[in-house]
Amino acid sequence: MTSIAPARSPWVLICLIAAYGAAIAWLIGAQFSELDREMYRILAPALGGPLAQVGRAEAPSAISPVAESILLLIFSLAATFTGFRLPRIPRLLAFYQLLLLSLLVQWVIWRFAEQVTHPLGHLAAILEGCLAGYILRQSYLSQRKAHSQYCELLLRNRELQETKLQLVKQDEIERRTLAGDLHDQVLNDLKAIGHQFESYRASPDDQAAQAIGTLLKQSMVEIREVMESLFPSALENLGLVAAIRECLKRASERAGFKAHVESELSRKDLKILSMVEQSLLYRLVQESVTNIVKHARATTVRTSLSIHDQELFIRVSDNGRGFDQTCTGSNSRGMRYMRQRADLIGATIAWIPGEGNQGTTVEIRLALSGRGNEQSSGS
Amino acid sequence: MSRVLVVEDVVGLREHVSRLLKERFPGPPEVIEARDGSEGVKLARESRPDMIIMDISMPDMTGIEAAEQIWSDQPRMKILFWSQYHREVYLRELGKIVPDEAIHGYALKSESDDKLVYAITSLLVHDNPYIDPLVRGVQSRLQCKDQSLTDVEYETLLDVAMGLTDRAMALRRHISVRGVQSRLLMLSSKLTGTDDSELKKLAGMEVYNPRMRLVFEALKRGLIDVDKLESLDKDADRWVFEEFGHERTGSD
Repeated sequence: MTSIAPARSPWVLICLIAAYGAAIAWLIGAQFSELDREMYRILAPALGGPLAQVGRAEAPSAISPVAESILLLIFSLAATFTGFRLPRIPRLLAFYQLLLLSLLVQWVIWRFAEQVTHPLGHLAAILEGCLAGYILRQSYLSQRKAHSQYCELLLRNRELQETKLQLVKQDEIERRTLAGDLHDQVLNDLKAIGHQFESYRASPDDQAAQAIGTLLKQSMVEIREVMESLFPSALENLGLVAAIRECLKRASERAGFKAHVESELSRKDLKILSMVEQSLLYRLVQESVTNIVKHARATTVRTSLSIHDQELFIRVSDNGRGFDQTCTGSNSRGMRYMRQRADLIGATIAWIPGEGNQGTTVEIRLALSGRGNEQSSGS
Repeated sequence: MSRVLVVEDVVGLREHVSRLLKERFPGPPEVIEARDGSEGVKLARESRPDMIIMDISMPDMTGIEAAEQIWSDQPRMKILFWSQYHREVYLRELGKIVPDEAIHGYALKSESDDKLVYAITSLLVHDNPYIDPLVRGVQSRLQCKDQSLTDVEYETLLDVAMGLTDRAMALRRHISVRGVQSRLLMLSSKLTGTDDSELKKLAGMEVYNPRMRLVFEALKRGLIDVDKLESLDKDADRWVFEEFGHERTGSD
């Protein structure tokens, strides 16, 4: 990944631009000083002041170049700073203020020191400063935006990495469970069958054969259980709604709550969802139900599947203890994991506390817009 | 001579069922074999069998989809699903597509040949739906004292005693309305025994309400355990909530 340099502090640049602007302004001012003096001469009687009072109405003497330069530098710096720091309308206001201030300063110098400055030079310095500051601001902002985008990208990347790791970990755990199941249930059954078979070979009789038959049947059932826990057959053969229904039914029998599943989805709606999406949605519901069994102590669980405005909603509501803020430690990890899973298919998941903190609703949402009538993703 | 269509994608299992039909049934029935769901639909239309034995999990078209198509054409077709899945949700999904006039059954591949033969006989000969008890819900586990009633008949008796309508019973047990009526007929022939048609002719009207008569007979014989009524009621409540999302209030 290419690295983008973080934005440097622009203050040095501001000072440089301001000094440069002041120098140009001074040159402009020097160029026009004859004109300036003539202007003062014309203005003097109208504005009043020491020269007018004397009535000479002569061209006043110019201010010393050093003083002029310092003045111009100060105004240029102020203008550049203004252009850089302020957005739009405040910038315009500050620009006018600077102009007024500059005129006031020039008037004071004229009035009390009887020396004239270069008004056009001042105007040029302020204008240039403002403009340069503005350009600097734009480039600085775009640079900062790029930088923040880069940072965001970095963060997202790290998050993704974490998700991947989490998924791999979960996968590992599931594999271990599967291995355990296979060992405990299937392998032991096969061993038992082996023993029975040995004894059958020693003395072939009907009873031993029958025992082998029973054991075989038993191990078939158990293999099916293991397969079922790995991937629910109902999901594959009957689709998401039936699989969710089955999941709730089994959980309700285990945990002793009443469960109702309501679906507004037609089979055509379901065909829009890919198998991966269906199985991930199923896992999210399964996890929610597991949480209800573990924590909620609910007596009824209502699940609904519906589509509003091109968005699929799955809600699992229980009437249990509600959201327990105190046991969020291990809980939040499970929730984060669910969120990560939802993220994989672009779904969102939210936990909504019920009224009076009684019960919880888990809401899973998946935008369906943009897939319209295509049904090719059903495989 | 009856005709049976076997729809099954695994060759070994298909041949096994064919052999079973030929060896264990008098006749023997003519057996037609289909290798997948779509061929099954085609053959069902062409040969009009008396009964279909249908696998569920098949490539391209599942047995459920095939059955739906067949039933849309021949709503009275008897279909026995022969499946490896022992989850109740399969019955439920089937219950959604089975027409009121059809008789269907659900047998498990993991069970013995005898059970399969029993299931086939039940559908083919007795017009009685057969659902493998391993797949049925919790209720069937309640033990019946009297061995003269089968589990299914006992279950039907309890549903009647509870006051469920035919349609509700069909929904709850995942069978067709005709299946329920056939079960009721079997039950009343076992319990009330005597034929009421003569009395009916004499009186010119229905004298006995057959359902009440059934419950009365069951009570008289002690078939319904009064101590278990409470748990039966709870089960029914549970089912009502599951099916309709309705919670009965104020019962306590």
